[in-house]
Amino acid sequence: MIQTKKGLPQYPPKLATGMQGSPRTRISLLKGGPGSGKTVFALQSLVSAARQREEPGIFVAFEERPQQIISNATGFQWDLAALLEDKLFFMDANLSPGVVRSGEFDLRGMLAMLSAKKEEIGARWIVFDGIDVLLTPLQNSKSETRETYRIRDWLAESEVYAAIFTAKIDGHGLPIENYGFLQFMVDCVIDFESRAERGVALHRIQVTKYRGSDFAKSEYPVSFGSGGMEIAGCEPTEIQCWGKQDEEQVRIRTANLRRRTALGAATPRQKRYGSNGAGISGKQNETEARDGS
Amino acid sequence: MVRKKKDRAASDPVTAAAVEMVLYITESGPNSVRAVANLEAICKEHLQGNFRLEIIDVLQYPLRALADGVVVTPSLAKLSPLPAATVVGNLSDKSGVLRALGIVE
Repeated sequence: MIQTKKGLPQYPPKLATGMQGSPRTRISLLKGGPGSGKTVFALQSLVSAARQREEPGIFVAFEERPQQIISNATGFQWDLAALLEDKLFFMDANLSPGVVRSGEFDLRGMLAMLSAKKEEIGARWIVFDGIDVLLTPLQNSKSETRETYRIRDWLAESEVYAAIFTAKIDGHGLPIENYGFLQFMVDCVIDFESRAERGVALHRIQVTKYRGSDFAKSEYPVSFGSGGMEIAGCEPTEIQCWGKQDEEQVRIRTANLRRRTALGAATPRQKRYGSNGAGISGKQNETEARDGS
Repeated sequence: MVRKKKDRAASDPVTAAAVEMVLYITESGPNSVRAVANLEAICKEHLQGNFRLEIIDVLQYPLRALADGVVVTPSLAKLSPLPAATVVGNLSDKSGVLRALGIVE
């Protein structure tokens, strides 16, 4: 994934034209049905932040067990094992079905644990994957709202650059009213959709909100390759729309032209030469490749 | 803050092994204050001192709580006798707590 200086993942060309904004945490909401790619997108963001920007991340897994998520990602050449040493931490936040619920609970303890872990590894990115799974057991929308705002307040003081929530909301059915406030507090909303056409699963994403800048409102087809999720439709003319044309942007643009993906997760080359934790860029990798040969 | 209670009733040989529990709280939270009160009442009424309870403030020992698998607070872990069980919430639903602790009313 490509990011700007402010740390929010940038989305496909023309989806947004750069990140001008306050230094506070940028919050994104990824919503869509089961299997629509939200978790891959979120994890890919952390992988890219850790690899390309040396910014560690925490993945809070409310719905799937971390082992499951890690095993699902083995098809991508992300080399999670190397990142798990000190740049990526999974918190297993599953409330297993066997847990007895007795009265109201809150997230004070969880946020204290996340603060401690954040300090320990210097995390700058955080994903709350499956926030709906956590909020539903709270059993009433007042508690849901209160706890969501608790997370927001925590983020405001946390020195985290970017936070990503994912939630199973398809936009057609229910509990959209419960998440209205969630959409309200986030800077960016991306809808994920997967549908079968003639027996083939098609995945699409669409940005429906991007605070503080213009963005492309059309749907983008996505596919899954060895580097993770790839977004089609990155035409050179559109790529010109990136906000800043500094060196990093130019490099990203080149990478995009080559790979036709806007989500620049670890490429096979980065995987092979980037697991030493050094700063990753195309140039450095090529240098390392030469040195290593 | 770690408070330990060892209120064993040595005089009652009939009772089963002591129930061993850890309650994870955040000291200042209203839910946690209620959980402590609710649990103390349940212990007094149903366990007659035959229990060991450790209360851990997650704000002070966050990494310990993380390692113990705590997700939300308050959270009660029954360690023994087996099977282990977890109750989340302020423990206001007494029947759920008793079921988790293996106490038959």
